[in-house]
Amino acid sequence: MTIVRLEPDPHTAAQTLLPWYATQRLDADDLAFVEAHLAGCASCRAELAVEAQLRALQAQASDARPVGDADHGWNALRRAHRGR
Amino acid sequence: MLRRHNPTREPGKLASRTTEDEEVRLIGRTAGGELRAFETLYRLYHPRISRFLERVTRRPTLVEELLNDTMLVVWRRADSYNGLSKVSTWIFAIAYRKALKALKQLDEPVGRRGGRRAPVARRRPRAKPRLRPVARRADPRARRPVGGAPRVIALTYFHDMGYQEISEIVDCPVDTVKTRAFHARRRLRALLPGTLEDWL
Repeated sequence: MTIVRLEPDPHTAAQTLLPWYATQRLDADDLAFVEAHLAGCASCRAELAVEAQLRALQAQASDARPVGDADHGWNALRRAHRGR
Repeated sequence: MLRRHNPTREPGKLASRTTEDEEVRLIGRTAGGELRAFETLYRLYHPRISRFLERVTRRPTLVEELLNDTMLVVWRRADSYNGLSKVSTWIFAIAYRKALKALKQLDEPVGRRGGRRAPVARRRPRAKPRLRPVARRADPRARRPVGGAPRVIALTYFHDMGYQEISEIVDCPVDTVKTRAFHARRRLRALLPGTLEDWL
């Protein structure tokens, strides 16, 4: 009996790794795979170009929510645990 | 316990980037009871952990308390940091566990916004499907990824972490991190102007 092994779609596999390729956080095997794929795939290169926009969108969403004041947090921490 | 020293205030604005070696030294000094080193770590991680906790819990009112709970663990358990992971991975993992515990106590699924849903019988029947205006679609907060995706996306895009680090923080396999990121990326991608969704 012949067993047919289903390999994942290479475009999906490459695009899954693009966020980390863009920030140079891939391990050696994944890096080699993505670079080889991008060299011959225009559509995935176009997806890579979108990465900067996605990052900006995330930054925009996070910046819209102000974080608390570090001084306030630090003083609250010290007050809460004074005497312990 | 926090009275071991009367710390001199560290500069309010710390450089946003420190080297890993510097952070490891700060952890070591914190383990040795140096409150000044701990305060430096606190201020260094305050904005990053705050944003992460807000992202995970969707509860701004919980953030400071959870942040301080997290940093108290750092203070008390700094001597247990073994150097096998980055300092940031260790601290984010503590914060993540604190967030999950708090949400569990609130009895809310992770990632849901706005608390419990009303029982089915009490929900008002919807007369017709509501159309979401295009302007709302363009808002990054309008349609958030659900489940584990917000954490993964925040850690990937906002905190610049690799999949191995994220796997350690959220305590799930690397392949799961990749899959979650892929689906979250697709949802995020659809929010960009000029995508097919704008025409539908």
